Amino acid sequence: MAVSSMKIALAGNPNVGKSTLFNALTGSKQHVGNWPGKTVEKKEGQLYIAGQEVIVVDLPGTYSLTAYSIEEVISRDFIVHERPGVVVAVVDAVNLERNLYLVTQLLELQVPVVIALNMSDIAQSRGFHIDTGKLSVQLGGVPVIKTIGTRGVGVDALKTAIQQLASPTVKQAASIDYDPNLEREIQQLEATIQAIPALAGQYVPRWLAIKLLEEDEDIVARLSAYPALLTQATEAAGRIEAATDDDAETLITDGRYGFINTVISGALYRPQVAVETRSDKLDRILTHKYYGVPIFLLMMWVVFQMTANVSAPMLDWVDGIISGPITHWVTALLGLLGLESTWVSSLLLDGVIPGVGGVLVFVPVLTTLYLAIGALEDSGYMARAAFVMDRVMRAMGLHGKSFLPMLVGFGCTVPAVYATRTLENESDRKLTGFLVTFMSCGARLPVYLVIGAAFFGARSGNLIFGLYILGIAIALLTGWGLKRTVYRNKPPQPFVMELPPYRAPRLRDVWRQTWERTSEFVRKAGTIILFSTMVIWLLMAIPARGEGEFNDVAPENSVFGVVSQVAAPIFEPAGFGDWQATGSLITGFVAKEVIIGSLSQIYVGEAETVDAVDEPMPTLTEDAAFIGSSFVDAAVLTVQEVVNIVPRTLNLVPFVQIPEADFLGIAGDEADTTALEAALTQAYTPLAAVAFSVFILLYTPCMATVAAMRQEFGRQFVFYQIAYTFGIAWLAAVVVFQGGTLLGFGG
Amino acid sequence: MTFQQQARDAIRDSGGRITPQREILFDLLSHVEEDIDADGLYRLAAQQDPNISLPTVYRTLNTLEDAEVIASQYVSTDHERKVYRVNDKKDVFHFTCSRCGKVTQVTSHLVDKLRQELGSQIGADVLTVCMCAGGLCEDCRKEAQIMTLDQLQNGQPAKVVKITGKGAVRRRLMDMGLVRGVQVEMVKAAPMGDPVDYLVRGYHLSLRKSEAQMIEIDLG
Repeated sequence: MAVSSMKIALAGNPNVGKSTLFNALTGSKQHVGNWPGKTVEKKEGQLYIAGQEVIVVDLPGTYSLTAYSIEEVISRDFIVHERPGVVVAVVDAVNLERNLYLVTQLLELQVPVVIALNMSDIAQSRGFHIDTGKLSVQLGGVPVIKTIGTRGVGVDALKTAIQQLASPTVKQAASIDYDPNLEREIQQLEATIQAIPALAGQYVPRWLAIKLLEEDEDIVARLSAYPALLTQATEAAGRIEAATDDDAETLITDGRYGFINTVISGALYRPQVAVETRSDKLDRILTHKYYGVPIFLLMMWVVFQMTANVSAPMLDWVDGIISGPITHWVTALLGLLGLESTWVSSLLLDGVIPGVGGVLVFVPVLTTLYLAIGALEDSGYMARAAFVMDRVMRAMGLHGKSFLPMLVGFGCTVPAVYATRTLENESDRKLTGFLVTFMSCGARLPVYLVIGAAFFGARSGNLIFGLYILGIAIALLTGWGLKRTVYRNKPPQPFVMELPPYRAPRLRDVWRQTWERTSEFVRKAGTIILFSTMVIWLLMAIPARGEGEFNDVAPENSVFGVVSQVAAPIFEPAGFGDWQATGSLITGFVAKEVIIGSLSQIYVGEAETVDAVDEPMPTLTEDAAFIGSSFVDAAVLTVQEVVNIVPRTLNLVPFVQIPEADFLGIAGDEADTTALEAALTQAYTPLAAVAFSVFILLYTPCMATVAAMRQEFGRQFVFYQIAYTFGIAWLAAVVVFQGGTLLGFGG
Repeated sequence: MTFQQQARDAIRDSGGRITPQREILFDLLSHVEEDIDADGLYRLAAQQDPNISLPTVYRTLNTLEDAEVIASQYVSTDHERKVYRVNDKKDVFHFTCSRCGKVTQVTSHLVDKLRQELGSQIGADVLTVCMCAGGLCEDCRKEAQIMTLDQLQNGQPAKVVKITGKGAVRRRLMDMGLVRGVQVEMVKAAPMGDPVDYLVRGYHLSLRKSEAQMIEIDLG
């Protein structure tokens, strides 16, 4: 028995129930991450066959194994270089021809393949009959196992087949009959490759020969050290074209599909007359000429409401626990250890706990987002959303599926960044991710509200509306510009997209994916958020001049204050070049809503916390009761927010005013900011205040966004994004201030 | 008697001189395989002798026609072009392509039958038959029939002939099963007309119009 555990891979087209089968195979033993250096999700799980551990790697869902998409390169690199013991090809029984195309390519890679004929129940209900025995024979001995991933049917048979196939005695011998002209050239190239030990040891010679004739960019680049071989391949391709009047790529694809036709003839019976399925009927409504767009907008509105409002009560609950009981307990613990009012207590209470809180508050938001996206994707609606909106979004240089991340961005930028995962293509994903930060998120609104109330009173609505429009305009302009510069030389990406049949979303799978992705956020992005909060705390604690000592220094004398003063002149042309504004913008990197807190702290002074002094410390039971009761409240409010989607939606119609539900009768706890407003009007002109708002709208939203972008798109992307947003924010603020001054609004 | 001798006689009979230029014309007429018009003959003759003039060509052709050494016929559907042929050739007539304007000489054994039938009908000796045929020539017919997938209407059955273009898009189209001979059906367009939903190999595939344009199809 082998000591090291066997590795197997799961391959298949998108929408064939691969994830469901992966879950059925591996149970709860899974690990989700990214493929090294890529923005593509990698899932790994464990499985035990006859007591032996087997590692299952879920390859990205692909239709083929070309060099044109990252997912396909990842999949084939894994098979070529890691040589998994067995590849399980998950095949949709309803859609056999197209699904077997990937199988033909797996066979060419000469890895042991077992076919999981998934969704065989649906195929049967449609009147399909598939002779698995015959299919297996025609495929040269590839085992074909009928599975129903959703009910776990066939999983044991699949395991047995994997086990049998893993023994090296089993040979699979399927060969595709290519055009004789092509076949001759393949064999000659194969012979040449066979004679080069470095290549023959690493690649399957026949596969490599085919890839060379296809002029596969990735392979050609990797074999640049073998110019003679490449020349031979180019010449061979030329001969094929001269002899057949067709290029090798066409002949190869024709050959594979021809092979598939032979394989399924006699093994597949399907009714001649295609019946209109329930999915087709549903599609007639959901992508209807007139209802299609309104239905789409409604769906997106509901997702927006879910991320922006439905998640809010739980968010407040998490926030309440952290600032309440957790803070109490830590304070009490510090008291017991005799560390109260030391720098340790300050680090914990002002640095670590708010940092952890800053991570955890995103959990409810991301959970609702992933639930919503999971449901949309699993049901098959997401492809329709792209279908319906492609025309409009393409005009702006974006993809039909870019709409959702953009919209979610008005609620919160962090889930918006993660929502770009629904886009298949990496450059679409990155472009959309680059632009979502310009959608003014919910955390920026309170800042506008305070500034608007201070300087414009009743007319503050105009300022806020203008800011939202400006954000959208900058996003469109940036997208337009990027398409013509950075993305100019990118070849056109195919939109070619399958519209999978509608299915009821599988709650268990959606929930699992939600859980995995959310916990991945906490692990990966969480550290960055926590770290940045502690850095700010540290900067504020270290004295740089004057009288203060560590952890006891006035803000303006701390490192933070000095940095702010040094940086302040940058904003002179924008009208807010004092250290107070600059300092609040630096804290705004942590989170936008923090700006108001920082400004009040600086201008109004430390607000005496009323309860902290006199009220006795709550007991443990009181705290426990608080956690419980506030959870119940939050749950009730969540239901209330779900219910309120209805009146909020109907209220969008002009002249309709339906009151929203208010189950607990809690009035919004508006913070009193009159003192701050008065101070701000003293310090700045209205024009400078507008410029300041414009800057807040456009620069990096928060550390959580940075962490999310770092996780999704990599370090380099984040660097460019921060540099660009900072530059455009500064420019826009300066244009507003200088332009306004010229036009006479300066007073 | 050769054609050249007949022609010289005819010219002399009408009082004309046998010039080197005329000899060139006789020679050309005796050799051209297909019917030729005055312009065409002039161009050929001018290659051999640049001094030849178009009026000379016209005059010579008229004289020969009057002497019945050569025959003439108007071709193309609107009878706008007169072509000449050496008399001893068979009944041929012309097919003119209405799209590219190309003229093709055709003949049919039915012309002889027609001559006899007409002759017995009116008791005449039918010597010439003038017929014009028009339509799309072979090339034009093929070209006009090349449809691309974006032109396919709902409910029309069609088969893929060829995928044009190159790169990622073309490869993806082929990978998705759009290869020669496969059936495609247009299901419906998106609300704004683009993209379009097609049924291929039993599944729904959405293509932008620009992508569908890369796919040549054959109806039926």
